[in-house]
Amino acid sequence: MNGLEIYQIVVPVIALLFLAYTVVMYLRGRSSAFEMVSWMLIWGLAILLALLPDAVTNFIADVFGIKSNVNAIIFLGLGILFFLQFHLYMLVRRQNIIITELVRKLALRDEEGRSGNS
Amino acid sequence: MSTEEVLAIIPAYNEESTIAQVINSLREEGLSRIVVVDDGSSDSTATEAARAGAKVLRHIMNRGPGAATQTGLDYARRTSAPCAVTIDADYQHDPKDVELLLDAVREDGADMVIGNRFMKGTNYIPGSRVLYNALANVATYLFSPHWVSDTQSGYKAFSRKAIERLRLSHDGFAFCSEIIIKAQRARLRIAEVPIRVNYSPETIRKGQGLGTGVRTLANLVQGYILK
Repeated sequence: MNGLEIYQIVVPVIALLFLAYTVVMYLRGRSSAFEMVSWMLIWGLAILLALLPDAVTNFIADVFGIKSNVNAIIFLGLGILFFLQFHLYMLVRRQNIIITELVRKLALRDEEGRSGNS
Repeated sequence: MSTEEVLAIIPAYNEESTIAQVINSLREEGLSRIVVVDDGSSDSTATEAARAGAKVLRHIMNRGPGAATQTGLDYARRTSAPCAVTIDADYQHDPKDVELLLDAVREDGADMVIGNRFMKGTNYIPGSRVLYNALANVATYLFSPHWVSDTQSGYKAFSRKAIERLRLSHDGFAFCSEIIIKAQRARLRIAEVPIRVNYSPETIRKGQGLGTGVRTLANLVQGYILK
């Protein structure tokens, strides 16, 4: 443990807390097994990246054929962020469609109810 | 098909000051089936509409003019209306023009008739609206090979066939372009007739501007990519 930077302690501790939270959410039935495993992989990668920054980033640079490990991690991070952004955008869009459907159906159903009662 | 059988659909959002006037004017033109789709208004639009004798469908929250129009068309489908007319709730359209739109359906066999504000030279239309409409026309034309010179008009008539076939997915003002694109794809006959228009300061304040135009175009592109 000689020569550890502060971030190499702080990041794994935070990641472990989130890992525990992810497991608790799954055990309480608030998230699926798929969500738990996905988040465990993300937080696990964060721990690995903090503890072994050079080894992990060099490995990623090799896999993607990028010369600099710093560029590799930036590209990968941007890629993940864009994917998550798109995923969120699709979720919001879907929710909007569902809300509109609901609002419209309620309006028609209420009118049907009033017509039926009158 | 008599004018009495036609269903008038008025999508409305915070239009308490004009809604009764629109309803009464439509009734004077012989329309007796009038439905107001109150799109989650925070004022007394629904109460005023009901007091004026219209049937009121209430959206529990504001979803936009496209959603309100679709609710009206759904109602027309459910009640087997032979024809429907949509008209704005802010009294910018003249209810006297309703016969022109209906004649295009009854006599010329059109399925969707658009009340065109630009075909009548006497209408005063603010420059920003002219510019916005021109951009919207071009944007609509990119998605549909049928050129319409007033794509954003809310004054429209629909045949039974159009009521059956048109299903809107855009909640906002993009529905004006979407409805033309979908009518074209459904091989419906589209016609335009000249109408009068009256822009009050309130109409100008609440209507579509360039910001809405950019959002509309973005929505159309997004809808096209993610359909």
